[in-house]
Amino acid sequence: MLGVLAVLPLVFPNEYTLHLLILAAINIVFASSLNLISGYVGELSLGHAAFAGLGAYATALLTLRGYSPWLGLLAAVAVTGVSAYLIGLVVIRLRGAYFVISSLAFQMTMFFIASNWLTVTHGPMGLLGIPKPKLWLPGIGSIELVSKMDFYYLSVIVAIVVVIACNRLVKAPIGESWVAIRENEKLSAAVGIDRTRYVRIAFMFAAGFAGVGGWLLAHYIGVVSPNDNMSFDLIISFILMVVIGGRGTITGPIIGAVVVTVLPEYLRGLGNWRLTAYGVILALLVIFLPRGFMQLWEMVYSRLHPLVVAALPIKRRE
Amino acid sequence: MAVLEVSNLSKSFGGVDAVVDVSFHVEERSILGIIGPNGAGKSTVINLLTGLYRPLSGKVMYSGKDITGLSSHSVAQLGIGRTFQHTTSFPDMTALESVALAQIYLNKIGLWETLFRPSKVERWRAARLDNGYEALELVGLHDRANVKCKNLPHAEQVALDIAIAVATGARLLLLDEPAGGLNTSEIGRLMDVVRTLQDRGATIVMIEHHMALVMSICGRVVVLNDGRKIAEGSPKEIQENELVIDAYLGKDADRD
Repeated sequence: MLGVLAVLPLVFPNEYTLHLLILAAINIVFASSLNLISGYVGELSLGHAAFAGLGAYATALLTLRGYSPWLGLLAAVAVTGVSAYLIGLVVIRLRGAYFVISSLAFQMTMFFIASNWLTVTHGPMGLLGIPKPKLWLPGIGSIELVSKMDFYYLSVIVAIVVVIACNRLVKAPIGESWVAIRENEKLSAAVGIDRTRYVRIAFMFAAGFAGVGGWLLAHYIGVVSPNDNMSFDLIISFILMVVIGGRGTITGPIIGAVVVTVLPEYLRGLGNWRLTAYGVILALLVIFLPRGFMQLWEMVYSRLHPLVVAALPIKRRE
Repeated sequence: MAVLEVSNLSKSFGGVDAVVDVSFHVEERSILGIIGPNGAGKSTVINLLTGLYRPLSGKVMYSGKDITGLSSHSVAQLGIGRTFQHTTSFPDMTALESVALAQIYLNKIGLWETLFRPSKVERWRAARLDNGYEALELVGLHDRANVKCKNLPHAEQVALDIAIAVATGARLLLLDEPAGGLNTSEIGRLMDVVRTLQDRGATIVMIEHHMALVMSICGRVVVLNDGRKIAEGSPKEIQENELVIDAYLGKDADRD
């Protein structure tokens, strides 16, 4: 797997494919983090793009004043984590529709601040010329990650780290508590699980990782603006990634992120019908695979597994 | 020594008095039955004790500690386990997974270990599965360990709910109508389970409609009617109490 990811840019050396792969990796960061709160805890957060944007603005504002992008990364995580804690004081006490609405209120507030606080954010024009991160390698010295190839490796490494962290969180008592709260809140309280505490952990991690994704996007594109980094369209696509991949699974959002990134590009041949076809495909997916691609995998597995077992020599069939 | 002391507990919903000035106490390792006609406020009392509702007035002491108005999870963490009148579970988990989950509030795994020490997480999970298996054995569900909760028949679901409460390590168990919907032989098994729990040192408060069950295993019985306590005593005293007979059978018009 790692090997495939490592040689992928050598197989597809063209800039456009690399661009898509980078966006897919960044979207994996966004989808996997949203999945913590919306898939595992089961509360739909519409504030995810706002956290992504906060991370992007945090690093943009710092690096444009000459600080290192790595400091920007720390700031992106800190700013999103702290704001998730503060917003969470209100939002995580709520459930269902109220959670959705209050997280949307946060999203819109952030969007309007970014659009209107001209002296700091330059409003809708955004912040331009965000520098690329530099990497110091032993023996080689300091290199600036300028090329698409460099950014491909950076994004993939970041995505892998985030996915591994998410996987460890959900496999641990923290993640078991999330699922317990989602499946039966009353019973989870009766066995001593503190909902507020665990939802807060999910909310802060989701936000922190969204900040990491925002950091990647800011330095890759080089521009941060309200429409590109915290718009409502972004949330829609994040939610799509999680839902069509498979909520509450680790693999699902990864598949979802790749599909949502790549599919519209493959439909370009359809010209004006592109968005229509995209919409129809998504609608069909949600109708026939409500639990996403992971459901498809389960279906295939449950059919194939008995066949495989039956085909094995009898001795090994225990 | 009284494990649980409830004094002057009251609760009303929108002006309707559900529980009025109810007091009772539960001795360590005893079984207290709470009986009463439908709507007498029995489940409300348990919900008040476990933080599902906040009492209007009154006081609840558990092992000498004031637990009045604490939230559900804090009450559970102090060692009070409960079951619900309508059995409830984590539908997609197996019986074993849910009793393992019941110990999770003891979370011994910090954030650092979660992210950087997966082997430690795995070891604790294995330990929880072992403890959980013991809890299942106690209620006779060990051969159903790998069945999903949603596929268990009602009687086993009741047993699982008790196992979940036991697995939290609770010293005081509040059982809300465990015999509801069970047949005679299943009630017999339930009785054995409750006695075993008592032998192992648990204190039990049980809401029940099934009189034979209450009369045979409860040391003391509290009777509620219209949210008020109308009698308390040994099962025998209760059976002969006029007020109780009136509450259950209705007053004889001639006697008034």
